[in-house]
Amino acid sequence: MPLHFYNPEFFLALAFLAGILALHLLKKSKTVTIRFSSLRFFTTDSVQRTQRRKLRKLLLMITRLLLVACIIAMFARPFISSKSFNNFQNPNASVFIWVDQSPSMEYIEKSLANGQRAFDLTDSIAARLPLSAKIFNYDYEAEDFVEYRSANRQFRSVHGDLKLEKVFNALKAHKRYSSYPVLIVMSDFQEPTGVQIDSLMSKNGLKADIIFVSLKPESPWNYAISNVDVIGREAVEVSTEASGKKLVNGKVRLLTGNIGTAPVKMTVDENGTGRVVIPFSNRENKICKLVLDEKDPLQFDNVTYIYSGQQKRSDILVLGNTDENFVLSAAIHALGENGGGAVTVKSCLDVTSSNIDRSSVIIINHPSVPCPGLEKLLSSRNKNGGSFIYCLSEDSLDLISDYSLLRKRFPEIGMLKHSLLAQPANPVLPDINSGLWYGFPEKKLSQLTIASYAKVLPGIPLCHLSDGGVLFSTTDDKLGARWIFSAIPLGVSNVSTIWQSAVFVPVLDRMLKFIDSRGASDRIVIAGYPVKNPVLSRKEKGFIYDSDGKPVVLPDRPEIVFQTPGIYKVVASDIPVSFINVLPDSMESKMNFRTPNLSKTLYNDAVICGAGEILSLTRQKSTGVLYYLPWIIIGLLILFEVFLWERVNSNGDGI
Amino acid sequence: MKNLSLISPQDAAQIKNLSIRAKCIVEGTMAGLHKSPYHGFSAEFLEYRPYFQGESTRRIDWRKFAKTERAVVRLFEDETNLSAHILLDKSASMQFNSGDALSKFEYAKTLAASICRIFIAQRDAVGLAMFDQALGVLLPPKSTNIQMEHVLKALENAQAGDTTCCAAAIESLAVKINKRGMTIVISDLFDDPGEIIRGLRHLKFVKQDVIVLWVLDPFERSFRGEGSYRLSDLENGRELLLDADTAQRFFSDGMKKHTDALVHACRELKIDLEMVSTDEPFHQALLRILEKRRHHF
Repeated sequence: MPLHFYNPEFFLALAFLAGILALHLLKKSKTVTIRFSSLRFFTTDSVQRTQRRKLRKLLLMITRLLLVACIIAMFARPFISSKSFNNFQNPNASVFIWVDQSPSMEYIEKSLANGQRAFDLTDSIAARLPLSAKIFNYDYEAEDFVEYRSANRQFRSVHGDLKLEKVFNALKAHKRYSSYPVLIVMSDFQEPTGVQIDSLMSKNGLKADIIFVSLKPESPWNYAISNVDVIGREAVEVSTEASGKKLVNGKVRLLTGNIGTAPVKMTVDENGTGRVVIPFSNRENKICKLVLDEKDPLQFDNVTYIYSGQQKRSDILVLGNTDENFVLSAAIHALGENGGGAVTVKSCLDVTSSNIDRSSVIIINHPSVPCPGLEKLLSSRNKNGGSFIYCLSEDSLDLISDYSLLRKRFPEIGMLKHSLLAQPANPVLPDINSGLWYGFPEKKLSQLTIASYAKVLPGIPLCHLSDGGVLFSTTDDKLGARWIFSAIPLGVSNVSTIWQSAVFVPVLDRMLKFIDSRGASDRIVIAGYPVKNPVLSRKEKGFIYDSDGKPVVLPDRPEIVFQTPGIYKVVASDIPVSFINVLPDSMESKMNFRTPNLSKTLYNDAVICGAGEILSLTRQKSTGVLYYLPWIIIGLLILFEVFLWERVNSNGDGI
Repeated sequence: MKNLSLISPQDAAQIKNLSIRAKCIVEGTMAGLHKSPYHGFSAEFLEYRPYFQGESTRRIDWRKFAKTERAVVRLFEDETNLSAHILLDKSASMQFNSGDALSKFEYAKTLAASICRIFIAQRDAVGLAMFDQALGVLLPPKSTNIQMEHVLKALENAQAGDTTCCAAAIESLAVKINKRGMTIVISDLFDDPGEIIRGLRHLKFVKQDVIVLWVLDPFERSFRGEGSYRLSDLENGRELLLDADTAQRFFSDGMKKHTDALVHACRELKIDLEMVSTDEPFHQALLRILEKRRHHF
């Protein structure tokens, strides 16, 4: 590894060497020629001694030169770095530090949370960089890189999307981006962080040296509870996951206020999931807290909440060709995303208003034929909330009926038409611009092809195609219902191979989860992600209270973000009281880590290293050979210089 | 005439004529003495000479003063009873001089001439021998005034010659001496001390009262300097490149051993060894010699 210097300008002081050289040359006296009486007293020893003294003087001069050079080198502050640390040696380097503040960074290892370790590491790096280098750390509130100032920060996790795209954009927009930028990413690279970074780099890479500091635990393990269901008025059922280590006799309790149930013991195999039923007298609806009493490294997921009146159940209505939609209904059943609710398959011609009113999610899968009845029924549906998944037809003629149906709800919609592609397109999965794909594993999608699709879809894109088109989109209609549009039919068709592949079920799962989480009534949302503001634009002002009954201050925006997991109570005069169960993101509990894939051609100057490694690769301030060696050399040179000086000026024979 | 004996050898060197130089030195030296060591107690009147300031007034011939009002001193002729040899080293090493002083050879010649003059003045027989590798010029001792001229001529014609072989020269002289007397060796003695002592012992053996005047240049006595020296041997042309410290150290050590050996040997042989530096005024050197050998002069 090459040797670099933090302050190379100090090498200008090497001019002193010329001074020392000149001093030695000036001091070197001239040789006087004397025709002397007798040389009988000058033996061979005298000649040898003269030669030794000359050699000593030469050594003395070299020693002094080396001494000065060493001292100058010390001031220049040498360090060893790899290629990716090139910019560190530059006094004008701009170092941008982004610390992953996701909940998984609360993982405690060696009595220190990974997030706190990252902050401490930031302080250490800041202390090791050249004084003239600028250091910036990402501020989640400012959503920008701010100048590093204070040390000893306390780590506080932030739920929700990492907003890496914002981080990248903030870096690119920074005024110091052009000055030898170095981006240090400190993360445990819990999935999908690594995938997201790869995806961002593939879209728009950075012109900066990137150092990924992996804070992945050495032997990760974790217990988590999730998926609480209320079973009638008798009990609740909760899932417990054991990652990396078997859970033996884990105790789960349910707390209502200060009163708790007896702990229920459960054993879960390593990397397995278990469910346990906790008897519970649910006579009146209460906010309950479920606690897994285990001292595991990650504590935030040992607690979950439930409103005991909450019995999640949603009926799903699938409209379209009943034969084709049979597979679809079976898949929905298998997913269980509707909490055991009914899945009804109906033809567009024989659907009733009862079917529609009872369903919380309606999937309209390419009706194919004009459905005036459905059109009327949909128009009359005036209930708040509700969700639709509308899959457009593959046939151009059928698109006309689609257009006719949709324009009642979306008057601004343009004429739909097909885009027949010369080369099949591939879906971009995961599309990091969309929350729909949050946590979706990266798949090799070249075999997923789409020959033609309908456009232009209304709303915000949820999934792009490789040719830039939109495969899925979402929007809210004027009645407050949430819609997902698909540019291709759902199910086996001639135009795509998506639904014949393994991604069929996961994509369907995501769509249902996404549309269900946007429901307006009792619902489950993920902490840190934006949800529709339930009290916005009401006739009278509504309120939201947290688990402790304190009102939550809400910004006057269509979307709000719940940062703290818990049960939130929504109170507004014109709607029934409802509860929002804010849960931590279950992805944060999984012990799946994946660092960015540097083997790709996405990265020019990037390196992945550990916490200790980055310190050893930057300047060693208090330890390391490079710190002590020059001092040892200087000490030895001084001793040698004194010794030589003594010998040169003494009459002893020396050396 | 200016009293040249009181001036430095550098100034004395301006006087090219050795005869005048020797005369000035001797007369100046004699004039400065409180009691003449060489004009003794002979009843035979020799001549008058002017009274010099500083001399004892007892020696003034008051009668003459009464007649002429000139202060003069009466000189008496002693009987010649001493046969002296001056053995002068004319080896190449005697050419050395540091700075603008007289070379050792010039200084030694002046000393020799002066001593010779003193001897002649006392009517003592004095001879001169010069040597380098071997004994060269040899003037047998005589007490005549013409002897002085011969000596001066020999000295003036003398050129520094070859390498030193002190012992051989002394021994050669010793062989030729057949009468009790005095031998004054003027040399820098840069030869093997054992050989020199062997020669001196031979002189003592032939009943010579030996005085060794060891003429050295001031530089040879101190050998101080800085930097480095390229030393070229005057006798054999050998060259050495030495730094000043080393040269000084080795020369000092060598000289000390050399001196110790010679001093020790001379003490044993009852030989007067006088170290004379070429920056030393002649009269001082002469007076030291005369003071020691008062009974001879």
